[in-house]
Amino acid sequence: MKPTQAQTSCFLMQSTLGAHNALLDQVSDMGIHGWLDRELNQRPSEGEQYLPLTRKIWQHFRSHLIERHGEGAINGDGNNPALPYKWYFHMAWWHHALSGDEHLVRKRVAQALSELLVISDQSVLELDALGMADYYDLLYTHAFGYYDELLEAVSLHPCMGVYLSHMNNRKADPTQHIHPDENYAREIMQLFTIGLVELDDDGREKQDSQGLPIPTYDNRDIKELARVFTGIRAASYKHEWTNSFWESSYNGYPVGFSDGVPKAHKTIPFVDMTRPMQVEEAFHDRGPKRLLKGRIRLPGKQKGATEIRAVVRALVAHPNTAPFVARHLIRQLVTSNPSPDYVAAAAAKFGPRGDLKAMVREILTYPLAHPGENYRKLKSPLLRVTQLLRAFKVHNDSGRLWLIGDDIQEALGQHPLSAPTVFNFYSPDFVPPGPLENHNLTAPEFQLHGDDTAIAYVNTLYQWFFGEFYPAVSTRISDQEPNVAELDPERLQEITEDRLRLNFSELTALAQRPGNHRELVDRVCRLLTGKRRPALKKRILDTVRDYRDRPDWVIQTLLFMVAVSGDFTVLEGDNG
Amino acid sequence: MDKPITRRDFMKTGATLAAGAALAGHLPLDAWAGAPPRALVFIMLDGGNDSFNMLVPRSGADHRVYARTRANLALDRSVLLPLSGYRDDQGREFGLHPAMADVQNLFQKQQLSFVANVGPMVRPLTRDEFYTGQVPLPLGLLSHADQFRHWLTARPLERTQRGWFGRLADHHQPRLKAGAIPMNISLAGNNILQRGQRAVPYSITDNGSVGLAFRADASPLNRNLARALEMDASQKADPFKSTYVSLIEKAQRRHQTFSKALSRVRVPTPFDNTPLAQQLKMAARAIQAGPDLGHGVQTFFIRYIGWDHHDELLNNHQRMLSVVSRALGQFQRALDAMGTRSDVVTFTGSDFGRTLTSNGNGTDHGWGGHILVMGDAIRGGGIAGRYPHLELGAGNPLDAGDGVIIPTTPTDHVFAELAQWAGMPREDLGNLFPGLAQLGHPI
Repeated sequence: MKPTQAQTSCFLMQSTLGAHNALLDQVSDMGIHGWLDRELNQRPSEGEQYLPLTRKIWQHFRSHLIERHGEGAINGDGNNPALPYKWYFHMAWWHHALSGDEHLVRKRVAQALSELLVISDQSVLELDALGMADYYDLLYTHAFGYYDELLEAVSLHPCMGVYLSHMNNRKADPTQHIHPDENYAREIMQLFTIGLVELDDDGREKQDSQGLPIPTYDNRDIKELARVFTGIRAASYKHEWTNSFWESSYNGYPVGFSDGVPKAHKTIPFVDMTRPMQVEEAFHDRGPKRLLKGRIRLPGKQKGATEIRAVVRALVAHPNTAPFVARHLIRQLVTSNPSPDYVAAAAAKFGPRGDLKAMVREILTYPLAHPGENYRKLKSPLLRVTQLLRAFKVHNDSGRLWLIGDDIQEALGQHPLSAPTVFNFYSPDFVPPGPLENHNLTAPEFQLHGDDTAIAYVNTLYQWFFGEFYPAVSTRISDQEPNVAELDPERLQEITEDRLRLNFSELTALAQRPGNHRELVDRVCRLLTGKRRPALKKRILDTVRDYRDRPDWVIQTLLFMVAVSGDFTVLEGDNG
Repeated sequence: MDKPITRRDFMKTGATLAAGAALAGHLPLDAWAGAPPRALVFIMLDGGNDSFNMLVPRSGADHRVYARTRANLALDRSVLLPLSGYRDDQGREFGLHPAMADVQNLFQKQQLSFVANVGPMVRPLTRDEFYTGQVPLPLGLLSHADQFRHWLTARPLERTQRGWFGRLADHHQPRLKAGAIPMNISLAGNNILQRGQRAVPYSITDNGSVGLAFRADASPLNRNLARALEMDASQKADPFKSTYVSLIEKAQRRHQTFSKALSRVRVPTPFDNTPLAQQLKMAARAIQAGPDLGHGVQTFFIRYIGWDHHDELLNNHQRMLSVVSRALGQFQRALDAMGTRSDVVTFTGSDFGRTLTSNGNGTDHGWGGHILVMGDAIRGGGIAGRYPHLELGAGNPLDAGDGVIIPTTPTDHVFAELAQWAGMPREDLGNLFPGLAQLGHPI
């Protein structure tokens, strides 16, 4: 049976960062399954990868910097080196998120994975947008690949190595009371694969004979696993400017644990953050290792890379990992409270290697096949922003959708690759007091809906739609801080060619005739809420009646009222 | 540990903390009934502060043990800021991390004390019991998410969504009128510390509360726009939508009350432009406005994130302890100037202390650690609890391996003193801290 447009709209809210009406029509015509298959089978496009665009944006700013302030602004003693600061990744992320109609599911899944395999620029990583972009490319490239390959690449990515500190981790030295760093060993189990307690295939916690949850590992397992992640270091030195202590000829020179370079120079911003880390065998613990009740046994005398691959594969194949990852992705994409059947169905597609494509397909199509279940989540503030901007084909004259992201983050508390800690923006079991808790539901995104942020969201939309103050875009060097992009949202709003605009031509055509206002409201509501009979309709029509001859006011009012309403912010999958 | 902690132990060794009878718990309830406004300010050093490099033994022999154990992370004796005039009952002297001059000053002025080797616990235990598993341990010991939660909930055998500030508010503010401001004020967003059975936190930013821009002026359009946030029957029946909308409405009503009360308050002394200092400045304002807000007791929750120093411990610690120390000094000065100094007790917590041993460049997750307690109501200038010995291995009954130190003062003991100071009746302490009895606390 052909899905209704409302169903298709819901599906696109779950599976993409946002749709517009033309896409909605296209997917309706093609059918959800046909369109989804095409998306899932498309190879990742190089043009939409994050590192090339981040580098291009950074080079743009560098060349402008040199133009304005001379070569000395980049190279020279004591000056600021104009490093690839985090904003250049922000800009690339938004540009890719807001432009194009290809790889929409891949982009959405990459974003969902970025809230599982968390790294954050609220750390020293803020100095290396190139590294973060390269990390994001892993999520983008492997989004429909195998989780074991992704996790192996993540484990060896220098950004993860810096963020969870296994870069420059060495084997124990008992004479110096030095033991291997346990950080990554703990989090790869707790957060990336098996979690804290044993799970059934449907994600429910197993219980022991006394009815208590069964821990998946203990501190001895962490210590064993920490020994695996030893001897790891960045591949090579890399530095962006020349001065008295650094010559460009050093670039590309391999990093060694005992090469005489101070340890402080074996990490950001002195090493290449885009090449996988390597294992230096002399500093790797080559003894045998045994953990997780013998589920992982390493005979010893193996190369570090071999051991890392072995433990990653074993962790991904652990029976907990399929329901653990399934639950995360379902919560991200579809609903905060999946039924055990839903988790089991998604987990069953995962397989021993973690087949993400099969799992994503199941997660996105299960609701269509099981319309009776309750699918609901609060959209994260980030997804509300991407969905609204994409719905009306956000654009600017410069063609550069280089959003700085700071204004969005400050108001709403969220930005890609910028969680406060490795535990992401919200905890998976968060629930606000009141009816949700009384119904025994979880609602993680409500952690970003406090007294301050809830209001800030409404105010942000008020500025957007009534003040045409959309998120700030930067393409110029700052006058105030000459080493970085202009980042002051107020100043950026004065640069006409960069200011964001929404395309309301389709809406204006309807808004011009009051007789069409009903249809106008219906169309907007269908796109943004997936509702055929919007509850808000009457109130919106009442509100715009006083100025129904002013199509621009009608549109502003309509969009504001829909976008702040619970019908938009809550993603519902069981509409009819 | 030689013997289980008892309240008497805590009181005895904690005599320095037990000032003005407040923290000693000697305060009779009738004295509380007439008590002035009181505020507890909790600063969570999020990620696990390596407090064994914050408060360091300074006597020669003890510092040598410290230096041997901490190896390449040890602070040289000469850089420590001495806590002059203080010796513990074993005659040990202590020093502070060199970044903490303001804290040193507060200590010398007897406005601040430490509590040594604190951690969430189920029962006192020895290393042998730790290894054999005879004694129940906090869930997820040594992991961030759980240890963080235990500090907030004081229920280390559960993963619950309610915290002890929340239960304190259930007691003081059992019913909240519409538009009234919850006594639990958060500068860290939604959190479980300040949520009770009924109580919820009130989240503000370091600029204060946030209000709806379109309500700021009452044009006909703006009045109509408000209708977007009205609910019809289907939305009311949907727990997601009704919660989303009702939280916005509540926040707006509270903003109107809160911003009005705060508009009359000025802070006369300077604060740094760090988030921590600015958040404390806002707390100082809200404390001053407490009576106008109808608050007898208030709590404040502040998170300073980024203490998980597996890497680059020395540099990061220097920078961040300096932020803490300066902000505490500025906060106390502001309270002094505003006349609220006797109404406020500020204390820190952290997920856990860290391993005494190094992982090369940093330290890993531990258990016990030291905290700061500041305010007029406590007797400053001391170290409550028992500072552990820092040898590694079999010679140290508190070393659970790699210098993970088993705590000797349960968080519950500290919290119980603070809760009583903040007006929690002694006979109700068990509601807040159900583990107290098992922890040898004679409630």
